[in-house]
Amino acid sequence: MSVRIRELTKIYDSGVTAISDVSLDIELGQVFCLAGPNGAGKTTLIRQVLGLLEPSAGTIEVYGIDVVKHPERLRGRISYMPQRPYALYHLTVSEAIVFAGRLRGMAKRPAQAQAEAIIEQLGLSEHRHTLLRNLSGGMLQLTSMGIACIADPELTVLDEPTAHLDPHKRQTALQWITNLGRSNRTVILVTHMLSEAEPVVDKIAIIKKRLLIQGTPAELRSSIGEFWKAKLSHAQTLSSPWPMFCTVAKSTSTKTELLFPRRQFAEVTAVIEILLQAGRIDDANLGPPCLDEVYIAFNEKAQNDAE
Amino acid sequence: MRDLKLVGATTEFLILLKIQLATFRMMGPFALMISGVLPVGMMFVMRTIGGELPLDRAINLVAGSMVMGLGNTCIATMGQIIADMRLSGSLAYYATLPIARWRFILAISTAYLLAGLPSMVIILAMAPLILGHTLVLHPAMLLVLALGAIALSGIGAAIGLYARSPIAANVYSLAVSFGLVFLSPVYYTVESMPYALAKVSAIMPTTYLAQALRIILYGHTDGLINNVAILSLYAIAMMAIVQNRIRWRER
Repeated sequence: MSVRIRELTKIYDSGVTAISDVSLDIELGQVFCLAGPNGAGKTTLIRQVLGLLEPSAGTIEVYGIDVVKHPERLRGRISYMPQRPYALYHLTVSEAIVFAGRLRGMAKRPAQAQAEAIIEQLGLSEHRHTLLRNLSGGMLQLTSMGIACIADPELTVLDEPTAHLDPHKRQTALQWITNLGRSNRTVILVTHMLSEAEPVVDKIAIIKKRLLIQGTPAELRSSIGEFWKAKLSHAQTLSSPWPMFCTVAKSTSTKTELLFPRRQFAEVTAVIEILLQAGRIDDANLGPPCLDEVYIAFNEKAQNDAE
Repeated sequence: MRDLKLVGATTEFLILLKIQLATFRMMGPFALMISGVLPVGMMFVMRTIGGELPLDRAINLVAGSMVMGLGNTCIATMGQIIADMRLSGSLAYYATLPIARWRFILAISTAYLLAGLPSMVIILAMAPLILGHTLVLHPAMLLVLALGAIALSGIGAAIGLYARSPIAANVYSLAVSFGLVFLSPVYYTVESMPYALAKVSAIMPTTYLAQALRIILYGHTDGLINNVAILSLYAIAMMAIVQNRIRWRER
């Protein structure tokens, strides 16, 4: 086990409880996704795991190191990609990645060689001599990933690595994260874009001040019950009465979303087929809920429980 | 304490220094010299109002200006930089690296000391013209300034790490900087201070910094080694405190 968190709680001096009683296990070489709405406590949790914030209660063990008692022993084995690498803002892309490697103990030539490889892989070749402060948001994000990953740290924390990336760069970033996982390095990925991250993550935890759920993507999808979703497109308002086992999740003049028990798949497809042949709907997509919908469902449940 | 091998420690310090020096890339040479304008202006005003100053008062004024400049850089500016780093998340990045805290602080203070050297040169170049006295310049001045920078940087770093915000850090560090300058015989000799203040000034690093600079400007050596030794002790003590007592981890 590379990271073991037990009953982690943080209450600030102001009395605000940032997280309460969170327990997580992250295995060696796992790509672990931490998700939650704004204010859920993701950053607070990450800062405690990195040894940057003292917990109020609970234990954190990273590679056998008691982070609560000896946070300084963790340095050098972990890396952290902040959303904005202000610390290195006045360096060029090449300098920032090389210096980051050298500060982790790499010799000059290996650091330069690995930095060059990272620059190529992340598509930063054109910008290697550009100051970080002059980069676009997306390029800065990719550079931050390079800074976090040079010198092959055992545990890498990536905070919203795809937030400002266009679709092409997002694929580059996700491929990069996949490669990190394949090289047996543990990655903690903080993101809101669960559906996008799904192909690269091994396990997901959704938190909202406390742990709502954790598991593999398949486990999370099945956790909201055996419900599937039908997304229908139509030119005019659809007023067809649906079977009683269907729930209309969303209905507009051009789109309708239905939830139905998976075991009723045949009945639903029969109804949709009839509507397609009658020209009342133009297109239909049926399938299991995506992770974003799981995320929303658990958030809403947590909100309702709180009320 | 991290790896004490000289090569590794030196390399780490130089890389941290390069990162800090890069922050001056956006400034032109004029900006680096501007901090010399105020002390030169003060000398000009005092000369104009007070007439010709005797040599001892002129040297007090020059030494005092240099100590004031160093105090501003190493306490006030350091405090605000560290507080800004905390707010922006930069400090969190450094806190995850296997670097020695004292080398990190030393790199910042060295960078600002180097950046402040042009203004020190302006002060020393203009002083004879404005004050009408010949001042002795000696390379030992660089050692004294470096030791003073190290001694004062630890104070600035502590303020930046513990202040609630960059604004609070700015206020506290300016207060401490001015306090240290005016509670110690920086612009005047210890003999001219009230008895109680003179006793208190014995524990201020700025006392020994100003005394050492005055001795050099006079062209003497008597007492220089004692002052340099005490400054060295302050420098070592401050860096030891930074390394061992100052916490990267917030509560």
